Order: sequence, then structure tokens, then C-alpha cells
Amino acid sequence: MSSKQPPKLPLKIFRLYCSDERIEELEGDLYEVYSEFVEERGGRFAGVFYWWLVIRGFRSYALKRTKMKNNRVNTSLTFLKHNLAIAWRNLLKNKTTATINVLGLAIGVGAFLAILSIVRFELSFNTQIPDKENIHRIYTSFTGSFTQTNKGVAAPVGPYVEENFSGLASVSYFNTYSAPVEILDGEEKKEFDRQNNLILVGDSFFKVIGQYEWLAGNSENALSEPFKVVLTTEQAEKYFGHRDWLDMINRTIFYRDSLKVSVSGIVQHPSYNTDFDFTDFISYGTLTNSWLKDEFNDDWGSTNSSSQLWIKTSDNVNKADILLQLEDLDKHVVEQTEDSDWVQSYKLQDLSEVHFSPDIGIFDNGRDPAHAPTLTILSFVALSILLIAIFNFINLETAQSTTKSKEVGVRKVLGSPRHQLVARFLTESILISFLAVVLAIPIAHYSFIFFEEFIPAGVALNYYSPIFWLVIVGLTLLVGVIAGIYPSWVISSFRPVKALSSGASSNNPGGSLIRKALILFQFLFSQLLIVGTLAIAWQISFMLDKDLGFKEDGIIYFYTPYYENYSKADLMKNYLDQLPEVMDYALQRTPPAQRGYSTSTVKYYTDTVEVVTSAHQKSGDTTYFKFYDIELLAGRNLLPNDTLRELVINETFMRDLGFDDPREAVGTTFEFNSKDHTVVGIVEDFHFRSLHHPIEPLLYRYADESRCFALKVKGEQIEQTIDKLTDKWNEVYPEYPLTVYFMDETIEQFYETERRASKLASTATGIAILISCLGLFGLISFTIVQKSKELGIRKVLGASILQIGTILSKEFIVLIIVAFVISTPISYYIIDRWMDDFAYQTSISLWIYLLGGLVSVAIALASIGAKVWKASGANPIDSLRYE
Amino acid sequence: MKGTNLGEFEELVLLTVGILYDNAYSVAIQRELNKQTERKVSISSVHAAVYRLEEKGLLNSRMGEMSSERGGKRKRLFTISQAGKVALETANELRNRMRNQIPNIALENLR
Repeated sequence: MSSKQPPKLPLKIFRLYCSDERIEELEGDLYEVYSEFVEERGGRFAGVFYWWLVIRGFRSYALKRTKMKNNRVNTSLTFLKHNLAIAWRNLLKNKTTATINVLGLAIGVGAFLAILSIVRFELSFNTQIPDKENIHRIYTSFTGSFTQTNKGVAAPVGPYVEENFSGLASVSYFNTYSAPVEILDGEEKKEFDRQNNLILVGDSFFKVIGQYEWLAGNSENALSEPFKVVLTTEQAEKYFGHRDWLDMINRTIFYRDSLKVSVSGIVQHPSYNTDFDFTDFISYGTLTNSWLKDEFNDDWGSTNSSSQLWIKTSDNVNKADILLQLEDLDKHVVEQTEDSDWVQSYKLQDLSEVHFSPDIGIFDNGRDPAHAPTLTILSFVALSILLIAIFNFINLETAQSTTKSKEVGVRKVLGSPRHQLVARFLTESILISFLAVVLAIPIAHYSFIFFEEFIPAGVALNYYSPIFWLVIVGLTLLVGVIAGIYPSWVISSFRPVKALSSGASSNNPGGSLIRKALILFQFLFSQLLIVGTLAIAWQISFMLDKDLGFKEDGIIYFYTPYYENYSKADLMKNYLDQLPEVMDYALQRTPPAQRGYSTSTVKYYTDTVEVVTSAHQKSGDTTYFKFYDIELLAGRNLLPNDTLRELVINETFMRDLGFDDPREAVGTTFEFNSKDHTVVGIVEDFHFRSLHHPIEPLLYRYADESRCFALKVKGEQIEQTIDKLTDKWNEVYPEYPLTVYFMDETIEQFYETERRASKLASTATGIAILISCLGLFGLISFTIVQKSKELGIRKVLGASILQIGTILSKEFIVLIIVAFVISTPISYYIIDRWMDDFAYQTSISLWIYLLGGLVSVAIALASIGAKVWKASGANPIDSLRYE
Repeated sequence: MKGTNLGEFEELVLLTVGILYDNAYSVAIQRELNKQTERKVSISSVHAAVYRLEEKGLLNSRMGEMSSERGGKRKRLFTISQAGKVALETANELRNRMRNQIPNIALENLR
């Protein structure tokens, strides 16, 4: 028999409701049925199947029995029981409406729960690290020949800060690292793939980030000597296969074949969310005493993002004090790096900001940072979906109120006070909300699996946290009360005489106005989402299809390591000459389009006025323009000599220089790198950055020894070319892996944020539309029952099917049109704001809005269509006959 | 005491318990029913039926042995009680008696 265990959550739910008397046999039965299912059809849907079993098993025979004693304390309990019984019977009586109500709410609450979990998850990072307010990161900001930030600092900065800064409790500088691992287990060698969360660090790290609990070794000196390593418990168990921590001390571990270190401590990683996910802490002395030091530059001018600096301030120290000292550091650095054509300055970042700064990043191999605006939008979307679902519920309930008027009448005549009636109907809505929330848990649970790729790893419903269950209970009550209070107030306001006389007031004017307003809101929101989704999709396809001004298809590129001698790159170059698959190749510093950029200051004179501005710069060999199909408008290409002060510029630069005709611009000189350079050629503009940015002045100069190789390969031969390249690469650079980039993929990645937004928007739209459809379906079913007599008479008098259909759907169509009128300016405004991000925008024509309106009309008609068709085709005799 | 009339499904379950004699527990009953009647019977409807029959006194039950197939849980084994036997016979007799009262002519020349 299969040994696969059934999923835990449904089993827990089952144990919760099942009586002690039956639990053993029933659980055994479920287990047996489940394992039979797994054996016959595999594990794919087994989880869902088990859920189904547990839900189906929720029947009287399994339930716990409560023995009710007849005393006064229990009166209110009796009332509750009575209300529950009535509510339950009511649900069973109107199965369609009940299903629609529960399903609509469940989807809404499920989406809400899922999104809430994502937002909560992201917000929870680093919030529980001890003394979190005092922890900061120092990172680098560059200005000058390129403008960007780097989450790392130059290697000497760490020791400098430690020595010269005051007001700091502790300082930790470290390098993140990754390497394959080998363990000697007796005679046997155990190998592990590349481990990504290694860190080369000193003891002070544990003072700055005090989130660890020490199980073996101690935090004071575990890393004070070279060739020591501290492991987290998970990692230690992975390496050694047992949990006897003390036994692991002094065991030997090899990193990247030859770095031999011994274990000096075991720490427990905290259970809360933190960005400090390191698994192996190798002592910093190891770096300075081994070949590792060749991998990391140690001068003031080289900044590597893996080399980071964290500080913890003393308790009473003002942040401004640290900032002042950073200014001194900046001055010191300028002295150390006089020759460079950029300035690096150091900034302070609070620990609380680290998880939310996509432009800086967290750790090289760590988590992706979260995007705070996206989280805000997500929260709004979650709330709106929940509201739509609640509005739906309110609509259906108020529409149905007339069917309950008799009940209200009888109860009032028998002396029931109004608050008791409200309680009676509220019980019903809370019961529905309870069912919906219960159903929402698996919906949210499985949506995480379904949307795995665009949800951060590790998000899950936290079933073990009491807060989660508190939220669930709170949500049940809140949704139940919000959704139920208005309908129960309306229903309980019926006057008994009117309610009991035959024609109970079916058109309560106030109620129907609110109903219309709620429907209006639903359509409004759906239309905003539809138009938004269309606009985002439109802009993305526009950006991907736009001609960038250079050739991008079939081009792959790779970088040779900059710390290796260039003669090795020459070997690769010679090999490319021999490869028949490579049609053409070019050597460059950077590809024509990429995320990063570098700018330089240039000086020129127009009409005797000196202008200082900045221009982007690219460099590479002389085949660049031919290779990328970039047209030379005037002048000539560069000569392959980097001592000549010659440049090629783009059209935009030419216009900035004050020329309209490219031919006139040839021969102009301007100052660049503090030396005069001559323009020898003008090329047409091309998009060297994403379309978020306009084309700016660009200069191109010749550079020897460029390390980025771009190849043009025939489409069908790309794979075999990469295989051949990899073989050659492993021969030339045996220690580094080859990473091949595709030009078109690089460009697609510019728009990753937009693509996520697009996915998100379309999912939200789908959910909103689904819930609205359910609501419309419920409403129309009810309207048809209410109007059956009217429809019968009209048919007898000769109304056509089309006329009847119009009567039934008119109200909705009018509402959709009103929603359209209101939503168009709102969506226009939102899309306009969103488009501001892009320098190149697709023209959103009016018909996108029209399409949004039409789609919502079509959806409305589709969801009510079948019912309307059936009603208008019905035999009038059926509705008019009395007996 | 609830009525001892047998529903159609209850009768099938009762018969199955008899067929399985000493190994009649819910999952086995479900399997046997699926085999005999070629319809999809869910485990929860079998549960509902056997517990109802036990309440009516038509089935007796005891707990069986532990088994690893069931994650170490014991099963509840059912046997037909005296009352169950009587109910089966009554139902059977009633059906035969009524079947025999149908005149032959009613079953001829059927379309």
C-alpha cells in the first residue's frame, strides 16, 4: 500500500468536528479511501480529493453532540440554536441563491486572504531582529562618469569605519559568497551543489544581527581564527545527516575543492522572516589568508556588491552624527581615488528599508526586494474585491427580502421585537459568511500553488499562528455583519399588516436605489480593471514590438571574466573565427541596450557659451554599428586605435550641439575626459535604455580589449553553438561558469514590473468579473420569478421574445452605461498617470474605453442571457394559471 | 425507536453487510456496492447508512484489529442483527408477494 500521508490541514479540520466516539474508525476509513485513490490515479489531485472527503463527511453521524441542559442561562443559546436551524433550512430551501452567495463571498474572501498574506509576508521581513532600530547598512552611491548605487562598499571602507567612527556599538563587514561543498564522512566523500548563502564574516556580525541562538560554540570567538565555519542547524543537518550538534565541532568542510575549514559553532536560524538567510559563516580571516583574497579586490576604487558593511549604533546616538562622519569618509575616499573619473560617496540605509528598495537590492544571492507601491495597489485591489463580493451579497439579500416578508409578518404578530428579527437575519448572513470563509481557506491555499511563479517564495497561510485564526474569525463576523446588517434592517422594517396582506410591497424604493448604487459600483470597478488590463497589455506589446533602432533578434552575448588576463579572451575570439555557426561577432564593453548605464561629463561651445552636460557612453570595436545594423548618417566609422581622440555620436547629441544636418556636425570638437575629442561620424538614434527613458546624447569610442562578446547565430543553431562555446569556455576558464544572455530576453526583462502588473491586473479582473457575474445571475433569476405574471400577461398580449428580453435586461444596461460614463474619466486619469512612467507611450485611443464598456455589457448579457431567454420563451399559461 | 422500514439504499447496504459476513466495514461495503451495483457510492453515504441502520437496531458492530493500511486505526465491523434479518426477510417477502399479484396480462405485449 502507498505510504503517502493525507494532507494535514483537512485532517485537522476533520478531527475538529468529528466526535471522539467515531474519530478512529472514520479517520481510518478516510485514510484507506485516500491511499486507494493515490494508488489508482496518482497524487496529483489526491489533496483536493481528500478535502472533498472531509467536506462530504461533515454530516450528523460524525458530529460532536452537545448535551443541552434546560436552564435559564441557555435561553440565549436556545435562541441561537433556533436561529441557526432556521437559517440552515433557509439555505437548503434556496439552493441556487445560497450557492451563489457562498461562492461569491468565498472567492472574494479567498482573494482577500491570499493578497493579505502576501502583503503581510513582505511587511514582516526584518521586523523581529533584536535592536532593529539601531541597525543600518552603509552603501555606495556613484556620480561622475556613471550614476548608480551599489549595495556594497569598497573593501577598505569596513576597517576604516570600524577604526575611525564613534558612536557605534558594533561594525560588521563581510562578503557574500557561493561555492560547492564537500564533506569527508569517514572515508567517504559527500558532495553538495553550489550553496548560495555563504558569507565570509567576523564575530562582530552576531553582535550586529543578534537573531541567532547558539547551540554549540560561542558567539565571542567562533570566527576569530581563519579557516573556521559556523553553520545553521538546517545546513549542518544537511551536511552531516544528524542533529548531534556538539559532535560536529571540528569536523572538516571543503569549499570549492580546496578551501579547508573546520566547524566551530552551530546556530539556530530564527523562525521569523528575515533577509539574513545565511547558512555557512566562514571566518573573515579565511579570506585574507587564502587564495580567496585574489577573488576580491581590496583597493578603494573597486566596489563589489557582495562586499557589504553593516553597523549597529549605540543606544543614544543620533543618526545625524553618523551622517556627519560619513561625509568625512567621503572626503577621505576622494583623496584615495584621485585619478578616477567618478566620485563615490557613502549613504546610510535603515534596516527597515532594506527589504523595500528594488533599486539597491538586498544580498547578491538573497531574496528579491519587495516593491512598496505594488503592495499598496495590491491592498486596494484586495479590499475592492472583498467589497464587490459583499455588495453582491447585500443585493441578493435585499432583492429576496419580499419572500421573507410573510415570515417577518408572522413573527411580529407573535410579538417578536425588532432586535430579535435583526438577530435572526444576521445569524443567517453570518452562517453564509462562515461557510464562505471556510471555503476561502482552500481557495487561498491553492491559489498560492497556482500563482507560484509570481508570488514570493515562502508565502503561505500560517495555520499554526493564532493570529491567523483570529483573522479568520474576525473576517467571518465582519463580513457577516457588514453584508447582513442592511438587508436585515430592511427586512425587519416591514409593517406586519402590509407584509401579511397578499401583495407585499415588492418595490421598496429606498432599497432598490441602494441596490442600483451597489450594482453600479460593481460595474464601475470591473470596467476600471478591464480598461486598465487592456491598457497595460497594450503598452507592453507596444514596447516589445517597437523598433529599437538596432538589430536584436538572434543575438547572444556573454562576458569573459574581468579579473582574468585578456590573452584568454583572445583565445575565445580565435575560436569564434573558426566556428561556422557564428555568422558575425562584435566585441564591446556593454551591449547596445542594458539596464545599467554610464554617463560622462562633456563640455562644448555654442556661440561662445560654454555648455557642460552629460552624455551616455558606449565603447567597443569598430564592427559595432555594422553588427547591430545602426546606420551611419554622415562621416566615417572609428579607426581601431584608442589613442586617437575620435568619437561617433548619435543624432540627439548632434542636435544638442546645435546642428540639423549631420554632415555639418562632422569635425566638431568638444571636451570629454578633460581632453578635446573630434566627432568623426554621426549614427542614427537607437534605444539604448528601456522605453521608460527618452533617447539622450550618446557618444561611442573605440576601446581595446572589450570583454563582452556578441554573436549573431542562425536561429536553429543557437543551442549547438552554445554547447560548443561551453566546451571551449570550460577549457579556457575552467573555474567559472559560462552565462549566455539573449539580446531579446534582456530587452523583455526591462518590462518585468509591467508584466507582473499585467498578470496581477488580469487576475483581479477575472475575479471581479466572476463575482459580478454570479451576482447578476442571482439577481436576474430572482427578478424573473418576481415578474413571471407580468411577463405572462405581456406574452399573451403579443410581446415578442426580444421585447421581453429588453424589459428584463434594460435596468442592467442602463446601469452599465452610467458606470461607463463615470469610469471613463477615472480610468483615463489612472492610465495617464501610469503612462507617465514611459517616455514612449502607445496612443490609447478611445476605443479601448469603448471596448471596456462593451466587454462589461457582453459579460452582463452572457450571465443573464440564458435565464432571460428561458423566461421569455416560457409558456405564459404556466405563470398565469392558478391551479 | 425509529421506524424499521428499509430504504432502497439501506436495503442494499444491509445485503452487502450480509455478503461480506465477517469483514463488513465501511470501505469494504463501499467497494462491494460499487462492484455489485456499478454505481458510484461515496464513502460518506455509506457511513450515513450504516450508522442509521445501527441506530435502528438492524446492524450490530464491534471494533476490529489495527492495520497499517489504515494509518494504524482500527475499523468498525458490522454484522446483521436478528432484527436486521427479519427486516430483510419482510422486505423480500413483501416484494415477492406483490410481484406475484401482478396479473400476467399486465406484463405482456409491452412496448
